[in-house]
Amino acid sequence: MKNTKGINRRDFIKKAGLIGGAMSLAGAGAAGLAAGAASESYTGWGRTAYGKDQFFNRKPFFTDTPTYEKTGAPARIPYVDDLFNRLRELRRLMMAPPGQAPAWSWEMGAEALPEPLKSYYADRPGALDEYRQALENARQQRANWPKYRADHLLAEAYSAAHASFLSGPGSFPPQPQGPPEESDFRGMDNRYLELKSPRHGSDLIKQITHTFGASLVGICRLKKEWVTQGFLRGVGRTDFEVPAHWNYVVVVAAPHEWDSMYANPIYGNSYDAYSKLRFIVGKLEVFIKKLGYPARAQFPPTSFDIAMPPVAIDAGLGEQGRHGVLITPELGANTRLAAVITGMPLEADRPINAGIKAFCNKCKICAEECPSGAISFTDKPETVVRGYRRWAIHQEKCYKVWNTVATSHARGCRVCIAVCPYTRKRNWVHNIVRVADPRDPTGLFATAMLGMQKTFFSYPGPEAYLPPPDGSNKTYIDPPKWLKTDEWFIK
Amino acid sequence: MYFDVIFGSTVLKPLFWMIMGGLLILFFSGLRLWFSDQGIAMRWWKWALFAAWFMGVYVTIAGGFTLVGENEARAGLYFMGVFGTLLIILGAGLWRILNTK
Repeated sequence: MKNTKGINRRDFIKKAGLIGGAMSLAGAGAAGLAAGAASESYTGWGRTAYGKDQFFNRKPFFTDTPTYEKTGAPARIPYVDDLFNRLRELRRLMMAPPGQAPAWSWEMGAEALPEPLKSYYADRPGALDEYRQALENARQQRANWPKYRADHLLAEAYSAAHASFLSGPGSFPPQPQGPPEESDFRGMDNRYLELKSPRHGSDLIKQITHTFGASLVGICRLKKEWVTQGFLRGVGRTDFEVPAHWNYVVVVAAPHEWDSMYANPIYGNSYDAYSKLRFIVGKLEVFIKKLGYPARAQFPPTSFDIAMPPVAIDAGLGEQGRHGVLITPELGANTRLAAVITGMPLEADRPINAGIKAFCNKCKICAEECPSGAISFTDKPETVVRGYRRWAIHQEKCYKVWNTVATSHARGCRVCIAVCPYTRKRNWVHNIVRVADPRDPTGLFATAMLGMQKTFFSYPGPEAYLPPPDGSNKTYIDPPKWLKTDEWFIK
Repeated sequence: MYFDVIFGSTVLKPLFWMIMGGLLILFFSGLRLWFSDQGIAMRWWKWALFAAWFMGVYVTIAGGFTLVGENEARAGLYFMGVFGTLLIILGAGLWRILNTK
């Protein structure tokens, strides 16, 4: 039936349908754009408090065998295995008290170092030279800084603000004083009520820790081989037995701010996640003590008595990646860790195998992009560390590049974290991969995703992250507008 | 972020998807008439094939722009370029199938 204007109903529906189809496709694009940029997608920094960050269903991937590979008798961790402990010891040896000669100098060579440094460097030829080169780089880095300061003023200020809690009167949490048998009980109230069950304890602690701001929380029993040996916070250099009340570890994870993290190595910083974690575990320590149980916070950058990645694996948070960093399904490698050791009766979580370690075997993007060459290219982990075969980075090489990038001082690189394919925000595209990949027993999905990752995404290449003449001060992704100095200041 | 006005709202977000649903109903209503006018005999399985193809277009556009939205413009354009090309080829094949009796 034709109407008076000459447009019949049939033509109207056809034309309206065409317009409707075009508009719905435009709507799909708009919805996609919104999903990519949505504040909800910034896991840990968006609107996902109260445990909503921990959105991955781990249950299908529970395993009784943690994904680290045991090859021999495990051993406690010598404290000099940690780079920062090692560097602190070297600096102490090289700094002479007034009127005295230093205990060690470069000219004396690695053989003249005291134990356990001597053995450490004897087992790793060249590592000490890398550290010496790092110190040279640091001098050049400081000399370069005036050239880059105008460009990176905001990044530097942002980092300094997040780092401001690290030391001084405002530092939190306080460091333990005295042996754990005293310090872990200090401030503890008498136990007023008994828990209904360890399961109730675990559920309560997780709920509370999420409200403190934790993105991920897991609980495990503490294995002795994850405890350091030779140094104990609150006591100093000492060999010690693992205290009897160190039964459980509440492992907490939080991510770096996503946009600045993707703009590593220059615009990112470690301290944003560190500050969150320190406040979370500091408060959790107090909370547990108020319930009448001993507690001891473990927090970054260096206040640890235990190795964090393996306890996080035991607690079911994720798996260790090729770059040595824990990869979790929710946060990828953008996962920073802290913990509270406690004697509170809890129920441990189970480790997971979500195929992350297997993916790392074939991916190698972090190794290809690492500006220091510190990450292994081997097809499978070859390094055996204290009875476990695992990926292990060359720590001194890594540190050398920290002292090279266009920042005022060595405050990290984190390119491996930024380029890791698992380091993805929370939106529907990446959630499809999160759900489908670990459920594909053939590995074909992972291979296809890796192919797309390497084809569609651009990577600057390892040298590009360095300052001229070796590189061009590139960042993995351009910095966010809010961190660009020339958006706000006259240069 | 301008999109947060809609997608960050608990009221406007569902409203957006209701409108999108309405647009799709309009699209498929018009399409049914268009196929009829073209003399194409649509069967249930032809509709299913077309819906799957259209969903592919939908997901490709939404996925590509999601990557653009998260600051991965190159990846987003490659995503739409590769899968868009694939969908055009599949669309040509689908057109031949739809034209069969």
